[in-house]
Amino acid sequence: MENHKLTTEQISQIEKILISNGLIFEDLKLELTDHIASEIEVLMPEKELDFEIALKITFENWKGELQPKSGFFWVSPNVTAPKIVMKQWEKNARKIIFQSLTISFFIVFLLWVFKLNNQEQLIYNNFNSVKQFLCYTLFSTFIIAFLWIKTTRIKTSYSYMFSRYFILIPLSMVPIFLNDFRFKRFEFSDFGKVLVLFYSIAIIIFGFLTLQMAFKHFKFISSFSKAKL
Amino acid sequence: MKSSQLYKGSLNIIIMKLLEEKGRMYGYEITQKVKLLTNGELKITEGALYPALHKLESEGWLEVEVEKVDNRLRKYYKLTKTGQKENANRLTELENFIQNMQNVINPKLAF
Repeated sequence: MENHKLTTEQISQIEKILISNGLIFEDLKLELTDHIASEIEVLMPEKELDFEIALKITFENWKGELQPKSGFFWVSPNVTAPKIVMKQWEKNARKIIFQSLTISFFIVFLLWVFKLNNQEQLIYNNFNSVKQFLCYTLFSTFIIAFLWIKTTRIKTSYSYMFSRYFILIPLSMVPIFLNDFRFKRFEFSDFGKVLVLFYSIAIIIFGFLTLQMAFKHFKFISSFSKAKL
Repeated sequence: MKSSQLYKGSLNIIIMKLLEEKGRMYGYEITQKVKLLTNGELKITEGALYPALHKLESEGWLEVEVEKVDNRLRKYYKLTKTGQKENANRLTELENFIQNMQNVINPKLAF
C-alpha cells in the first residue's frame, strides 16, 4: 500500500501539538514528530482516513507518554515534563549519581590503603594539587560550556539537564573552595573527614560527568544543523 | 510490547541485532520490523523503545545521524565500534542461554 506523504503544514501541526504538551526539546521533538508522522502516513491509506482524524487517533495512542510527570527525587520535584522526557532524565541522573558515588568510594578506599602503607605524605603532596587543578578546570569549563550553550539558542534535553546542574555544581563546590583545597592531615579514624573527602571527590566526578551533557548537546546541534541545510 | 519479562529483558539485544543487520534504522522502522519478523506477536511500544534507544546511546553503543526525509528531520541510529563488540558478546551469551534452557526444558532435543 502506498504511503501518503504529509505536507510541511501537517508536520508543523504535529510539532505544535507536541510543544503544547511540553515537548520543547529539539532532540526528542524531531524524533517523536517523525514517529507520529510515519504512523499517520500508514494509518491514512490503511483506514481511508483524512489527516485530522488520523492525527487524533495517533495522539490518543501517545497520550500516556505525553502526560506530565514530576521529576521527584532524581531530577527535581518542582520540574514537570512529559513522561517520555522524564524517563530519559531520570535514567541519566541515576547513572551519573551512581557512577560519581562508586568512583569516589573507590578513590577514598585507595587513599585509605595508601594511608595504611604509611604513604600519608605522598598523598598530602600530590592529592591536594590534583584536586585544586581539577576544581579550577571543572569550574572554568562549566562556565564556558554554559555560555556556549546559550549561544546555540536551541533547547535540547541535554542542555536543559546541564543548565539545571549549572547552579548546583558550583554551589556544591563552595565547601571545597572554603576548605582551601587542603586536608592538612588524613585522619581516617575521623569519620567526618572521610566524608568530606568522599563528598569532594564525588562532586568533582559528578561535575565532569555532567559536562558530558553539554558535549552531547553540541554533538546533536552539529548533526541537526547539517541536516537542516 | 508483550508484558512478559522474557521479552522485556530482550529489547536491547533485539534493537542491537536489527541495527547490526540493517546498518542504521529509525525508531518507527524498528517497531515495524520487529512486528513483521514476529508476525505481530511482539509489539514494541514507544514508551519502551525510546528509553531503550537513549540508554544504548548514552552507554556509547549507538550513535545518531540526523537527516532530512519527506519534509521532516529523521534520527537514524547505528552501532558504534564498541556497540558491535557488545552486540557480539550479548548474542553469544543469548545463544548459550537458549542452549542451556533447551537442555533443561527438553533434554531429549538438546543432543
